[in-house]
Amino acid sequence: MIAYPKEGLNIRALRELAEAAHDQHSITEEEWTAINKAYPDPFFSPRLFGRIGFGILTLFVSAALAGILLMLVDFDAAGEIFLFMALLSFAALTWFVKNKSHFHSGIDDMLLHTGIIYAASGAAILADEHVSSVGIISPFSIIAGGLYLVAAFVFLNRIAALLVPLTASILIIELFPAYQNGMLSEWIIAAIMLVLIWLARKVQKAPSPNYKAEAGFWLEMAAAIGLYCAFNSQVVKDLSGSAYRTIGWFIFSWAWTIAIPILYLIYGFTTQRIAYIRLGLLGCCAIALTIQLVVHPVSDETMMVIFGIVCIITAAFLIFYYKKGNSSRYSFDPGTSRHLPDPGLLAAFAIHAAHQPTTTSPQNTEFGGGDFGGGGAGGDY
Amino acid sequence: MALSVFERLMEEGLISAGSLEKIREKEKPGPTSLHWEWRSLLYLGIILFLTGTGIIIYTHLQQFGYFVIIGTLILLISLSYTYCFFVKPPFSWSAMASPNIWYDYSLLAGGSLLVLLAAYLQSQFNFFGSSWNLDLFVPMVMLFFTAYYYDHRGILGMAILSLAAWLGITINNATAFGLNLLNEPDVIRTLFLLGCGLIALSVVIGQNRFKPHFQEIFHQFGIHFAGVAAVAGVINESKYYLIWLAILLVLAMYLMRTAFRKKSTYYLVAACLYPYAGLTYIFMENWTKSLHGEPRIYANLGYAVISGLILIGVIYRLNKKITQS
Repeated sequence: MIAYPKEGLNIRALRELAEAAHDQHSITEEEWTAINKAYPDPFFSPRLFGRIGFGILTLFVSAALAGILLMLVDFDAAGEIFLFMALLSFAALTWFVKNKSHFHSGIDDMLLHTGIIYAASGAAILADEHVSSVGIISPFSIIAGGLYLVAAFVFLNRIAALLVPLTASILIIELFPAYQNGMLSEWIIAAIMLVLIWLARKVQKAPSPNYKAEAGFWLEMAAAIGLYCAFNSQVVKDLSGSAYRTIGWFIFSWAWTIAIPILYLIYGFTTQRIAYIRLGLLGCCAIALTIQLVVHPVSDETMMVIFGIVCIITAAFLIFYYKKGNSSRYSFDPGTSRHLPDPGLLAAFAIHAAHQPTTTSPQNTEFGGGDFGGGGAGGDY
Repeated sequence: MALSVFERLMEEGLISAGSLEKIREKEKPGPTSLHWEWRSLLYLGIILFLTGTGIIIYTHLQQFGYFVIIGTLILLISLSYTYCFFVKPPFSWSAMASPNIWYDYSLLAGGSLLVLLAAYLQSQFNFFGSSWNLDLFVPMVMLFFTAYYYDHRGILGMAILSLAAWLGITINNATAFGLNLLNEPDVIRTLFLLGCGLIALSVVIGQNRFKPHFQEIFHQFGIHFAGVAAVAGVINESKYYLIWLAILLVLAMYLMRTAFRKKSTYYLVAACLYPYAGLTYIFMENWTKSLHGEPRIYANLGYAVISGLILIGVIYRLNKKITQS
């Protein structure tokens, strides 16, 4: 279930596509204006700074209201107050989305995240008060993780998708503290990250139009980072000398630290998935950082200079290589790098438009035929 | 698939056949671009190299000797500037296209090292003397010249910051966020005047043919210098806080006008948040002063809830007006 009307999402996809064409000067200013007029944005989605402004103010109001309520009960019933604030946030969120057509407006984003934090905090405080030895972190992680997962796919929220692997990792570390020296928690985290990657890829491969694909993509990326961190963290932990490691585990952790970024790079290049190429590059920086943190072969500033030179030489070589057109699969042309909406959404739009005599939709019609039957590709759309 | 959408848009008469042809051309399968990735890697490399070099110089002053350091800096600056001089496009008072990827980075590195050299010469030899802040003035002039001659917005930003520093506005005084210096009336007023000057300059620049594309940079620095100074004035100049509040409201009106003229949510948010920050401080510090303990906290929290909701409503309505205008 998605919180937003699918027809609106299709029009939004069309607008994104037209905007990309406009940015690349493929369509004229007049044509872009005409498309804007014919297909106005069905949602309230201010630009970035508007979003930030709304977000700050919503947080301000929400925190002040929670403060008043907490003071009214002398901070005695914090758990209940947080749960009440969560309900209030979710109710307000639903109202803004349903009645005011907010879509990533800053207000709905902030209500969603504060709602989740309130719900998880409230539940954790109550669990800690009423159930012995459960603590706060475990219930917080479970509730927050579950809600983030739902939020990622219902409200198509990227940040929520990114936070799912993080909450899962915190939960595992909290649940298996006694086994940390045996690295059990790291194995479980790695396994969970693999499951999340698999799930996220399944979501992305769902039949078009796939509205959840973007959330799935961000979940996959976050899980891929989590997978790398699972054992890389062991190497960094060794630095502090807080945990004993056998030589076998030490070698394994180092191999993991170095191999995963390289694997990401290889996978990215062979499948032309730029996101994995970026992750691989990020991982390579993490390798240098880890070496410096753990082994400390040279001073920090010398390492910066060395790694800086390596980056410059590598980038220079690759730029010259790709500029010469040596590769048929990759280029250094700035014009070909673009973000396009899911083609399935565009297909849905095309079908929708093809069966529509005017640009404004008459009542009781929708993708998939709506009340009239026919006229669509079936299923959801 | 995108093509079918554009074909449909053409049938609806929203785009021309020529535009569709252009889109068709661009939609042809081609190589994937790694432009952003390699540029980022290069940028990271340059930043790491320059930062590392800077720290090495700073921490090994004695071992290297002054003249080795000065010589190296001059050599690097000369290399950067010489390279840019030979590859730059012919000078023009309008925007100049960057000839290649190295040009921007090389210029940025040269400009940064120039500031570093001036600071080093001053700290070690008092090279520029102790009057008129020449150690800041000279690199500032050179940065302005570089920005205009080579047409570089990043360098222009550095030059404007140098100008602020030359006027005595520094934010790196090892205080909390470096902003404690803004509690001095002279600094606040200077910053405000500088902000107003930059705004005025941006208006002039926008109306003539001398690098009119720099207008936005001057304007951005101007409105934020003026806004931050006015809020600092409200906070720190308790005698004149109403005057500063009036200034904030005038600034807000100007920003609002700009927001409607440019259809910009960014200016709209700035127009609302700067006076709101000042007003909130006045309410919480001055107007609820007579209350003590819990009542004061309730009043302040109540103000935050009500004013926040009102402001959300105001921005919401204004934003709609802007997008519909």
